[in-house]
Amino acid sequence: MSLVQLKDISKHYQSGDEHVYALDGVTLTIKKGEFLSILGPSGSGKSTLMNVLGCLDKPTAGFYQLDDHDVSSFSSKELAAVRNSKIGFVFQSFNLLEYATALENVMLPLVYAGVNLRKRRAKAAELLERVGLGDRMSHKPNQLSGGQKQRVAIARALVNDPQIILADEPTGALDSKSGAEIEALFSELHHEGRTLIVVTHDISLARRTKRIINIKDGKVVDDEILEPSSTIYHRREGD
Amino acid sequence: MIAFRQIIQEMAAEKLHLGLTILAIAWATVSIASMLAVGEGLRQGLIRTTSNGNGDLILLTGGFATLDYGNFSKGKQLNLKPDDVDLLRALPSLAQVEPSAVWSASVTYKDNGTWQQPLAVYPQYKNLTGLQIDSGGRWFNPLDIKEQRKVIVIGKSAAVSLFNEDDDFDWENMPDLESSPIGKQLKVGEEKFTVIGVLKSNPSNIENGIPIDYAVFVPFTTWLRFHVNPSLGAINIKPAAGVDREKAAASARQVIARKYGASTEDLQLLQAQDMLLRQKTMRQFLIGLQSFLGIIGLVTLAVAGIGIANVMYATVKRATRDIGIRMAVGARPGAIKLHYLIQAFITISIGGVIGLILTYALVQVLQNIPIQGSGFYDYLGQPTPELSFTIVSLVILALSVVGIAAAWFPARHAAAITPLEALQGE
Repeated sequence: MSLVQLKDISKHYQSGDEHVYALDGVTLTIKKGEFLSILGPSGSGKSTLMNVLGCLDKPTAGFYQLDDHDVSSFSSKELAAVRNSKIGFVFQSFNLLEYATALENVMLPLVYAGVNLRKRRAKAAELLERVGLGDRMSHKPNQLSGGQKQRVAIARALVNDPQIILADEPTGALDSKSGAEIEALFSELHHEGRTLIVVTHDISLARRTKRIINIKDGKVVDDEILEPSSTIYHRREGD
Repeated sequence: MIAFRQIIQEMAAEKLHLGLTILAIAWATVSIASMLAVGEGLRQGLIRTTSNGNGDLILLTGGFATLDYGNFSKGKQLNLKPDDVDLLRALPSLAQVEPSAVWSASVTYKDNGTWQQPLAVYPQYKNLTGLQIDSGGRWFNPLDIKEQRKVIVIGKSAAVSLFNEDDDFDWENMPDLESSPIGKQLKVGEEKFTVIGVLKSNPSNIENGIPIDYAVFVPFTTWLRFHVNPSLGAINIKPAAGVDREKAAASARQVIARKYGASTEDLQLLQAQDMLLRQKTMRQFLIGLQSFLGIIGLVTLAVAGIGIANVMYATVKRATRDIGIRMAVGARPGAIKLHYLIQAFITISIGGVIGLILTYALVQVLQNIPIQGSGFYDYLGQPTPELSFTIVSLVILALSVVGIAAAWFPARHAAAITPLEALQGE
């Protein structure tokens, strides 16, 4: 069963006199439970692809189906709802609210989902425990190390139980030890049956995923399956 | 759907800007509320001064002809006579008709004199104009009228100017009476009169603008005793309740004009001045003044509103990345807009409440400043600023309008940011 279906997705814009094709006819299918990476040098269009996948950006042309919904026709209000319920983001620069505590940061998606405070707290606390930050809940981002910040961000990405977790260079701003911890966490999440998409230019990070999609000049140039995704894990129930 | 806690956190991170904005709103609120309160005080003061005295009377007076008609050629004077009153009393549209006459003689006590000449009236004049007698004295009684007694009642300020030894008279700061003048004898022209009463101080006017405090009264019949072929100064008319005042005045003029064979068209020959209508103009003027003061306040508030808008634009700009984060995790544009509208609402509420509390305190202080014996202040009806419910409502309404207008555009701007540009704009 395919979770994501992209058909002829293009994204172009005018930059000065130049007509830039950030994405040029990308067709792609991603199944539930896959752990894949989108690999490419900077300027290859991989970030644009991630923005389109994450409903942060609308394609200029093409068809995008996510979990049986044609999101390419959605309004910005509907896209917000999709981001809220189906997608979890992990960014290179963490993107945490600086004045809010770790717990409040993790609770944020639940606020916009209309979950009440008591449930928000319980769910956010559970996920911070899950990423090993049970003792850092009331710390603010500036009191946390890079690796800890990224784990807060992962907890936030998981809190709404999304269909896809999108990670943009998740280890790019971390030292190698913290980076390895994050990679290990991703592997765990994959084994729990979650769908993970990692966008990176780092081949060694890409090698840890099960499928590598190579992007160049806005086109998919290679789609390499490292480990046949025969093992579609069942997602944990009740979280 | 709103991270209320974070609205507060975000505001707390902008303490200086927030503080200055709150200060601006509080100041604007104080200015608009106190201006309106001062205007309201003046208006209430005027209503107090004009609700007695000649306030609701129509004053009928004779004048000089400007038309050749009937018994009158141009320039001829019409003198009202005491028996005119009887004709007018027969009209059902008039509730009360009282004559008054000016005795053209000066009132003196030793070397002191009064500003106003004595006014000859019947006892009923007291109720008609709301005069009150200071304790120890009395007003005219039927016997004074019947026996044409030489008794006199004097206004407070007239009494002071006549009987106080100290003659450094100050209109702005009226001294008290040094001793009771009751029973003392003064002179009207060369005739000796006995003082029987002093009027309570009253800022209102009678007749055609005589201040009650400076008026001097003698019994009407006593005045008749000293005058051959007497003519009245004026006829004070109180229309019956519920009748059209203009029609009542017109019928009174008509009756008198017919008696003298005068033209009803000649507005100079026979004048009917409705004091209530004159006040209406004054009241309207004061409402105008109040609106003007209110507009000045509103402009101040609008300037504060521009301040709010500016601070909010800056806040939105600084919070662009945060807006992007919120949108990435699912905040809808409406939620972002609401976020900043609530922020503005909180800011304005704090500023407005502080402003209203300060205004309330200011009004309390002003109301408790003792201002006494100032003639001009009394003349205005002793106005004090009044922070009425209407004014508070108006201020809250103005704050809301300005606040919504000031917050709307920055909030809309924030909501129009796309999550992508917000996250990239780092």
